[in-house]
Amino acid sequence: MSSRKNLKSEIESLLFISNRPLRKKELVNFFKVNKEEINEEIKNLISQYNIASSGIRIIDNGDEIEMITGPENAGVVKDFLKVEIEKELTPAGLETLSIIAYRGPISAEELSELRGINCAIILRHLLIKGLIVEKEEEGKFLYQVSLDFIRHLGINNLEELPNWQKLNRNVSLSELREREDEQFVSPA
Amino acid sequence: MYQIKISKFEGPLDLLLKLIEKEQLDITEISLANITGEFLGYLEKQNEIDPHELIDFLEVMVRLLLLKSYLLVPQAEVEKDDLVDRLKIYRHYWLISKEIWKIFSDSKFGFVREKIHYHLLRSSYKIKIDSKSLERAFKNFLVRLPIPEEKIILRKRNISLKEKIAELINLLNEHPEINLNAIFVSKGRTERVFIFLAVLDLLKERKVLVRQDKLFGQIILQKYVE
Repeated sequence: MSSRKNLKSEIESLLFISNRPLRKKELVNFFKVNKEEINEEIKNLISQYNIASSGIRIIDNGDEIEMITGPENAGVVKDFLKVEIEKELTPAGLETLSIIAYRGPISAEELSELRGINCAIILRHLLIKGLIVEKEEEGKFLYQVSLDFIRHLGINNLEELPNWQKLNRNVSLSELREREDEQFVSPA
Repeated sequence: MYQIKISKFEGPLDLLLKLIEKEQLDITEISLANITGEFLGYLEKQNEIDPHELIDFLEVMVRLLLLKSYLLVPQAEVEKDDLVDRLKIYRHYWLISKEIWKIFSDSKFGFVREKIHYHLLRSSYKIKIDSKSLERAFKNFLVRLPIPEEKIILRKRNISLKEKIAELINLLNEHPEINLNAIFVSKGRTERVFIFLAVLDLLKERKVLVRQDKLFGQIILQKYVE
């Protein structure tokens, strides 16, 4: 039960009028309700919007949500706005992003360990491009993908990534190692 | 020949993986030890590795040498290295990044609104607006409106110089003398001007004689006869 009667529609209006992602924490503070209520209503909104026939979707990177146009309509929206979509990424940038997408929030140290090379510079590049965001947790800087990156992929949340269940952060590295021989991805 | 370039940011694990793929080997300690020589070879040829990245390559190199020495001297007590495991895990993400690239390169893309049109929001007006205040404002405006000045209407000229010349010639044909002042009496200002211009024109053409006995006196026109 929500302590505010119209919480869902209120969040919907804020999502509509915002020209930036809304942080879930920000909504908790703004409406003065608890985190669970906000999450519940966001979940309701998402199931309302994120259906095939909807021209508007709500994307979620865990901490933030944002209202976007349906990825299927990218062509018409692009023609209407007369814009070009920049899809430029180096192989190393892509690799780093992939790891952050599946294992984020992740620290620079863990990332460097996984890739076998210092990732400080590439992290800075990705931050500048707005593809990842940095957050501080218990004195440690953690990185996760931004809503911009999710928008670029045309998905609604990270769980829609291929093999999410097999690769996400809840799966321990030792489990991953054991699964090495499994043919879970079709070779390119 | 298969070329491997160590491009920027792509680390030693990437290089190892590419070497193993090239030889079509599985990720095992033996195959890693076998490509140690190639790894060192590539490293020697590269001049472009940043010094702060070189340390990562050197670390892997040391581990490879350790692996190789362990395999060459099996009885030696060397602690097992986790390089194989790390490479296996790295391969997961390397493969998945190819999948992500496919999605990324697809034209699907969500757009967000970039501007808010604040002028649509009532709260951005400083004055309260209701029908009463609109009426008052409009009345104030009406009061301050300037009283319109007398209208100046441009009329099409309906008097022509040609006509006036013709009229004067007709009159002179009928009468030996014309008193211009007498004609003027019944005419408007514009017409008088035109008649006067007609007189000047006739004078120039030597068709009339003009006589005025004194200043501001009667102007008498006579037909000019040669």
